[in-house]
Order: sequence, then structure tokens, then C-alpha cells
Amino acid sequence: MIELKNISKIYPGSPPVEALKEVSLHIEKGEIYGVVGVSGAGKSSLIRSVNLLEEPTTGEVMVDGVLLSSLSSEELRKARRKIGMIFQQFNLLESKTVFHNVALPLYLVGKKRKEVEEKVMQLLTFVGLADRAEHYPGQLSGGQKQRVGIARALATDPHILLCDEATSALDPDTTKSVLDLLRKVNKDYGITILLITHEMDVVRNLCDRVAVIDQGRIVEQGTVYEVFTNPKSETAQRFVRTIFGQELPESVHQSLEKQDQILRIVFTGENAKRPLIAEVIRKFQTDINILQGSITELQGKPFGDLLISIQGDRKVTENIIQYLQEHQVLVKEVASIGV
Amino acid sequence: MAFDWTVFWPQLVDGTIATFIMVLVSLVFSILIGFPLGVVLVVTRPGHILENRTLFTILNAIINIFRSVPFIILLVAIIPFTRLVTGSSIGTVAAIVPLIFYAAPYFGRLVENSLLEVDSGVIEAAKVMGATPWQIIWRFLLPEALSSLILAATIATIGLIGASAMAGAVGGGGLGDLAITYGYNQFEVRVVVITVLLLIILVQLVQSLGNYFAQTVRRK
Ligand SMILES: Nc1ncnc2c1ncn2[C@@H]1O[C@H](COP(=O)(O)OP(=O)(O)O)[C@@H](O)[C@H]1O
Ligand SMILES: [Mg+2]
Repeated sequence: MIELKNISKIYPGSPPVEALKEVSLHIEKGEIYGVVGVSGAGKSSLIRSVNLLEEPTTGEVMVDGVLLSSLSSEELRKARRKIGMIFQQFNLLESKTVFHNVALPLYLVGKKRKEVEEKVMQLLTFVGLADRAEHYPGQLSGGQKQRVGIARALATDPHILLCDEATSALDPDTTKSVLDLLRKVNKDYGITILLITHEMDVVRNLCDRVAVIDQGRIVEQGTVYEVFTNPKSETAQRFVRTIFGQELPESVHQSLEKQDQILRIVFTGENAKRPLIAEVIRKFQTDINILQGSITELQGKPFGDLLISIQGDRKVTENIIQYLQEHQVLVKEVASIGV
Repeated sequence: MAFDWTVFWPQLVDGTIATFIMVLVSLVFSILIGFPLGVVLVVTRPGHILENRTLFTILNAIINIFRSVPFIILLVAIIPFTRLVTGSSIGTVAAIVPLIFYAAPYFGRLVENSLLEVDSGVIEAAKVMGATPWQIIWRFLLPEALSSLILAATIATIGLIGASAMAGAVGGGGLGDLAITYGYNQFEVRVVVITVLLLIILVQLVQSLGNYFAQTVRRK
């Protein structure tokens, strides 16, 4: 569906900025794909290269099997109608009504008035703003503006929706409702979604697969479940930590003895439901102190993340690690606390 | 010698009409020339939808040249051209030519500024939906800048009212001409006061009208 091959982007200047370095991505039809990275990592440059708002310096962009750079400007305009996009700042026409904003893409292709009216009202109903058709963007909340943006992007029946930090200007509740709407766009219309964000929570709530970008390079990619349960790159680990393991409280930190061994245990799938810790305590007759833990859901699968300390013999700890691993639990010895 | 008001009043009416004609005709031409000039100045600049460095640089330079010449000098400098076009270098019709030379580049700049105020995100959204450059200008840039464009036209009109009064200096007719003939040449202070008051009222009227229309389109 979307295929990026060795995309590099250099913004000229002194010094020139290398925003993307040999980025390759393959996004399947019908999936929701997230790219996460800190500010300045190159996310916008990446997503803007998919519809050639930003021409890559080198590399190929294929959408629906078509090499975009080979198109004439007329063909590119046509192709863009099948690639919707929404923006962090919504980019609506402030001087036009909600209706007109959504109708614009249809006016551009010379659709008949009646057809436009029908389509726009159907889209506004879909995003839950049918009663706001005659309002102006200035009279809407941020979440409502983004809904208009989504309706507008859907007007030309795109196959793909690009979301450039679509929820970054919204508060948490509104973010959630916009993410729900995007999920509905994906489900009801079968539209492939590529989104970029600096919020790992957005990825967790919405995406099927995720790529982590750092300084213009993709440093990790996989299913959301894989990346959250077992992040390999340091950047990915840092992002996962923004959701799960926070720093230990100072008082807990100080109460730990030197010889305590700290383990991070990640339960996935069915294991998250088993009382494994209880089993370990019984079996090894040892004291286990749970320092921190959470059990949540990822892509509909349970997922637990525990930080425990074990007092006593190092040998016992090793046996425990082995036992847990035999039960398909991910165990990592944490060298220093505060990870 | 007592001032003959019976002669003056009809002249005041004529002068007001002459001012209206000068301002309106030169405004229409200034908009016809300045508006496309401003649009071209925006869309041909580096990084914009119809980037064309040569055209942009040339237009920019031309506008700067005209904008830097004081009106009174412009008035005199283009007399040969004025005579060529209107067959005369004096009178109301002849005054219109330099007024256009003065106001068209000015209005072009104002249009340029108005269009540059439009959020670049709007252009981005337009590109994303596959709009042609022509559609971007007409369906996105201009509607978004409309309120600001109305104010630009208001400023240009007021500039023209001022300049048209100055055109009186070279016998262009109008209120400025009256003020100079009677006030400066005959020391008739009351006439100066009356004409200046009329000019002030005119300017206020234009500004209020402009504000009103700008506000009406903005409120939506
Ligand atoms: N138009 C531009 N000109 C020059 N440098 C740019 C431009 N756009 C982005 N950059 C630079 O490229 C890098 C990546 O930017 P961007 O893709 O916007 O990252 P992100 O969206 O992840 O914050 C940054 O260092 C940024 O300053
Ligand atoms: Mg960005």
C-alpha cells in the first residue's frame, strides 16, 4: 500500500539538515501504522514525503503500486485525492462554514451541487457534527475542528489517511474520542492509516504496528505488542517507559538493601492472568517484594509489567529467573534501580 | 474685497465631484493593476506555489522604485506619458494617470501583505486535496484574506484621497485645488477649513465603510 524505500531528506542551508536517513517502511493495506519519535526526529518530514508535500532528496515513494515521483503534476494532484491528510493545527478555512470546508475537495473536482450536499451531510453525520454544518471553525472546539478535518479528508474517498500529530493539540479526553473516530474510519471504510506522534499513548490506543524514529533513522519496528513488551532500542525503551515503568519513588529506592536483586518481569498473553509470583514464592520459599507493577491491555491482549526485588541468595534468584523463563515470561535483571 | 460665496458654493460642489471622479477612477484602475500584481508577487516568491525567481525579483524591484518616489515628483515626472495618454497634462482626467502610478504599486504591496497573512497550513491543506495553483489562489488564499483585502482597499482609497488633493497643486481640480486657489493664493482661511473638513469627513466615511465590510466578512 505505502512503500518507502531508502528515503533521505536533506534540507539545504548552512549547515544542511539531514532530517531522514535511509528510511524504509512498508505499510500494509488496512492497517494502522504509527511512527513515534521525539520532536525534531523527522516524523513530519517522513509523513510529508508520502504525499510529496516534501520531496525526498533520494529514495522512492510508492503508493498503491505507483511511483509518485514519476507522475506529472496533474497526475500527482489526482493521486493526492486518494491520500487524505489531517494536521495538528487542523488547517481549516476560518472564513468558511463547516459545510463549505468539507465540500471544498468536492467543489475542486467539479461535483454537482446535489451530490456534494448529500456527501457532505453523510460525512458530517459520520463524524458527529451534522448539526454544526452552518457553524464557522472559530465556533468549534479543537476536537470538533479535527472532526471537520477528518470529514474533509474523507470527502474524496481516499484509500489512505495521513495524520500529522492529529491529536497533539487536544486534551486527553478529546484525544481519546478523536482516536476512537480514527479507528472507526479504519474499520468502516477500510482506510489505511499512517500516523506520526510523539505520544506513545496514541500508538498504544490505536496502532497495529509501530516504527520508532530517532534522529532521522528508524531504529525499531514491529507490532505494537512486540515493541511494548520487548523494546530493543534505547529510544523505544524510553518511549515504553513513558507509559509503564515510571521511576521508583525515592523512599522505595532508599529502603532497598545493597544485596537486593531487582528484576523486571513482563507477562504477556495468557501468562498475565496466572498467579506466577505466588507460585514462585511458594516454590522457592523466598521473599519477593513487588516494587511496582501494572497490568494493562495491548491490542486486546493482557500485558503485565512488574518490578520486583528478591532478597537472599543469588543462586535462588537465578533459579527463579530460569523458572519464569520456562513459563514464557520475559525477565530482565535490572542492574540499577530507576530504569 | 468681500469673499463671494455665491461663486464659491458651486465650485465646492464641482470640486467634490472632481475628487470623487479622480479617486474612484484611479481606484478602479489601481485595483485592476495592483491586485494581480500582489497575487503574482505572493505566488512567485521562493517556495510558493508558482515559484519564479526572475519574475518575482523584477516585479519586486519595479514596485519598490515606484513606491520610493514621492507623489509630487511622480506627478511631474510622468507628465510626458500623461500627455500621451490623455492629450493633456493638466485637469482632472490628467491627474488620474499619476494617481494610478502612485496607487497601483501601493495596492499591490497591500494585497501581497494580506495574502501572506494567510496561514501556510491552509495552502498545505489545499495541496493535499489536489488543488491546482489557480484553485489555491481563488478558493483558498483569496477567501481567507478577504477581510484583510477589504481593509487594504480602504487604505488605498484613503491614500488616493490624500494624493488627489495634492494633484490639485498642478491644477488637477478637486477639493485640493480649491484649497490651494482660495486658501493659499487668496488667504481665505474659511475656504481652507471647509475643504479640509470635507476631506476629513470623506476619509472617515471611507474608513468606517471599510471597517464595516471587513468586519462583516470576518464575523462569519
Ligand atoms: N523546511 C525545513 N527547512 C529546514 N529544516 C527543516 C525543515 N523542516 C524540518 N526541518 C528540520 O528537520 C528536522 C526534522 O524535522 P521534522 O521532520 O519536522 O521533525 P518532527 O516532526 O519529528 O518534529 C529538524 O531538525 C527540523 O529542524
Ligand atoms: Mg512534526
